[in-house]
Amino acid sequence: MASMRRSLRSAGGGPWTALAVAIAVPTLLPLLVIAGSFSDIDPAFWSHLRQYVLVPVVENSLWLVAGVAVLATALGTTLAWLTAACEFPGRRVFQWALLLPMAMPGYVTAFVAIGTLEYAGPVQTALRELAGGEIWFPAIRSRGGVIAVMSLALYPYVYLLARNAFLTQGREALEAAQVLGMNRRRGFFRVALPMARPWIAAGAMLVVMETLADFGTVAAFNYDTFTTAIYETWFGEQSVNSALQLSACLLAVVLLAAVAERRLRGGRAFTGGKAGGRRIVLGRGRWAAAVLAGTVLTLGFVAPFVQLVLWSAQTWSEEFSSRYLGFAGHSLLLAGSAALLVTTVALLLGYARRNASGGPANILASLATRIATLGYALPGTVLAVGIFAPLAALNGLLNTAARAVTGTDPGWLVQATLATMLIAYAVRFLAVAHAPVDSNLLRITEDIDRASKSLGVAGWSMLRRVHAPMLRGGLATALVLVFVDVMKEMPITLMTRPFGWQTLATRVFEMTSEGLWERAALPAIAIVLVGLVPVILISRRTTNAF
Amino acid sequence: MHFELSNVSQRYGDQAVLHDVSFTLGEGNIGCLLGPSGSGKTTVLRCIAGFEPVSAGSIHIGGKGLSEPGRTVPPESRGVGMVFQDYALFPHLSVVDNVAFGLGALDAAARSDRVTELLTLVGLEDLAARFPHELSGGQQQRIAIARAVAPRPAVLLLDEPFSNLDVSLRERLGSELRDILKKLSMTALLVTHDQHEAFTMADEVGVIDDGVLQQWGTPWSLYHCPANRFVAGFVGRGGWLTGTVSAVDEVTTPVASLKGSLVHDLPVGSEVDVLLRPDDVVIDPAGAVKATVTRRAFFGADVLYTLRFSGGETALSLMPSHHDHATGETVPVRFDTRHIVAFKSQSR
Repeated sequence: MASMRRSLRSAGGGPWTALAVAIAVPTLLPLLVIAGSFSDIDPAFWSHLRQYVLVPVVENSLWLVAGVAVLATALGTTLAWLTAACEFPGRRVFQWALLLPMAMPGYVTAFVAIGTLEYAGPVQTALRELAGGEIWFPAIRSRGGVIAVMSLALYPYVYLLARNAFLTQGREALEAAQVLGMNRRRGFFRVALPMARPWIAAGAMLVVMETLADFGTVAAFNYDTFTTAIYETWFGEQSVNSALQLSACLLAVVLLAAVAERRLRGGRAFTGGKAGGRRIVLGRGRWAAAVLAGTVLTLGFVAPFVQLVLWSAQTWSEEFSSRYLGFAGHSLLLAGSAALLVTTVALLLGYARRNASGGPANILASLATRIATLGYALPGTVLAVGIFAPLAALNGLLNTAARAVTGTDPGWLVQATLATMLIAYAVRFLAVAHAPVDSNLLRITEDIDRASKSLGVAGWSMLRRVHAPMLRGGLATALVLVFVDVMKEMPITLMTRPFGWQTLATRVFEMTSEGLWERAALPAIAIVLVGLVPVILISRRTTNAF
Repeated sequence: MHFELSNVSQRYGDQAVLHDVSFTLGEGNIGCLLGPSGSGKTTVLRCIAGFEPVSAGSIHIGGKGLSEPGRTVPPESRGVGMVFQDYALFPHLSVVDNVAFGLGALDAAARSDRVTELLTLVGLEDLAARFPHELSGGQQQRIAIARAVAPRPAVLLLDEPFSNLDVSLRERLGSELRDILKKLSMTALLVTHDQHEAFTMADEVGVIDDGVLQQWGTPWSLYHCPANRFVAGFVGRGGWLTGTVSAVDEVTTPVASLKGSLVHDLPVGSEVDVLLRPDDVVIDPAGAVKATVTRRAFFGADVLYTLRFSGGETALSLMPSHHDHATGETVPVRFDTRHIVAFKSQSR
């Protein structure tokens, strides 16, 4: 009996490993489809593409990535240092409030900025009235405008990681530098900053990834990048293969960025120490610090939010209708079912890795986990094309086969269903759910299992009484994060939704592309309010830690 | 016998981890497996707990067969308690709920009585509402013990119970733990690599090396009558002299003739290595042999001297610290050997 159980257990690596591999397939499939698309190159289309699309797109993308990376990293690192190590007026509020822009998707900040600052917008109109004539005002729809808006939306990634680095590296290192004769400024540049470099590089990497993946912000600015080019090729030219090939180009850039980050991080490991020590009390600089933090917070969150509230109030009577509730219902349905699906898959993947018994089965399960969580690096547009194309091909085959058998075209539709959207979300956001679930699973050590068994509690009863409560926090985090990410998500939703199906995000896109900023406000504000939930959770955690 | 391992062997693939391990432990006794890391001592524990099957032999507790090749009663049905090296307390449960975890068979009142009784026994009744991360290492250990003994297991297993604690705490907690187990009349088996722990805690100790149980006995017999060179070298300190068995109760060495009964019978004329424990070597004005102090280690009540004899042989001597000798000093030495531990010489 025991030998049977034992052989079952060693064979148990089989099904669990198979499960992990199965979960990795939807991530692998679009990558293979994209790689395979080069077997059929349309030379006429590509010469057109190279001349009129690729050159400006590459130039635009590079400027955007470089600009946002530099500005967001500079803002994030500076603000992190000020709130982590220094004392200035308002520091206690700023240290969590500076995370609020995370709740504001880039495309929302973008359309609010354009709507407010364009020629016909309230700011320029008011200035003209004051001046009594035409005035000079920087064009908001410009390269500088996109870079500024996107940096304001993305700097919190760097801020969060860099702040954590500054808090945990301990003031001891800095004090050691001071004892050795360095003043604080040199101490910052010679000690604190180099020690925080891996974290800052990781934050900058996230910013670069998000910038490359962004669709909504650049679309609002009519600033052509890879993602908008893929979208145009897909919908405008109806050329699946060319969209796939453009996706391959974007993926190559993503890969390049990942390699660059490895380089930038250098051989340094993430190290941590004990937090503590006295804050640096700034002299006259304390007001400059407060003004900087206040400006970033105002531009990144307060002003856009106030403008959204004003526009929502203006348009409330026409816009708050059963149609609006329909969009909201679709968003909630999608976000809710995606959260449940993705969290379940993440849990299964976690258990698969945990249960895959040693040796090759384990290595295979780890590899499958790596691949399955790679989806977060795939821009939404790329993923949408990569998943839609094979499903459309499958659909064609099915319909042809059915016609051959029955003689009539059944008109089946496999692609552009909710199932397609959910698969695409699962690929994109599996990593988001996997991280908190897996870190909880790692806490359930084998000794915990053995302790439970030696006390007579095993099997389902152990899952219920030990595993479930220990996983609860991670599962809740995963559900919330995926829910919010799907609520905000734009390109996948736009490209794989059933025809005419609207969510809050696609409604924002529709109104924005027609320049109807006021009417985009009401759906946008719902997205922002939902997005505040995880930001508040994160900021509570980081503030409690210090 | 309450608890019995008979000829237990265990293998992973084609690699033998345990080879023919047998011992018995009487009801209410505390046993200890002592061995270097990688010796297989933890595997013995895991076999007893039912986490590993045996590939030969059998394990019986209270006359009930629990493990034999092809049949392993699962851990949850064996009635064996275990205290883990890292304690494995459930982080999501309070102290009370951790201790009550294995008491599902009792009704609420009986459960709460049992928990209170155990928390009082381990002296932590005030911490009932705390969570594991709010406890010190020593407190976590005592909760882990309370949790393990709560369902009244037939045997309690403890895996390196002190390795996560400060050295200064270990000795005190060791005697405390022994008192708790004795109060509960608990049959217990612990595993450690530290002989002081083994000697403070256990009634009987087994020395294990390379998957083989080298000797099972009382601490006294392990120290004074080691069964082989490994046990002699692993347990306690000592030095070796070469010599010849010159009579049934005498070994002649270049330093002196040692009198005493031979622990292992060896024919007269055998070339042997003799183990000299530090308490066998006494610095005494009446001593006939002269030695030079080459090193001294002060332990408070005692001093451990390293002595060198004129032929270059060395020995250790443990003396009360009011015998104060400086390094370099020449001292008279006498040998107080009641039992002589000698093994057939390996070099010849």
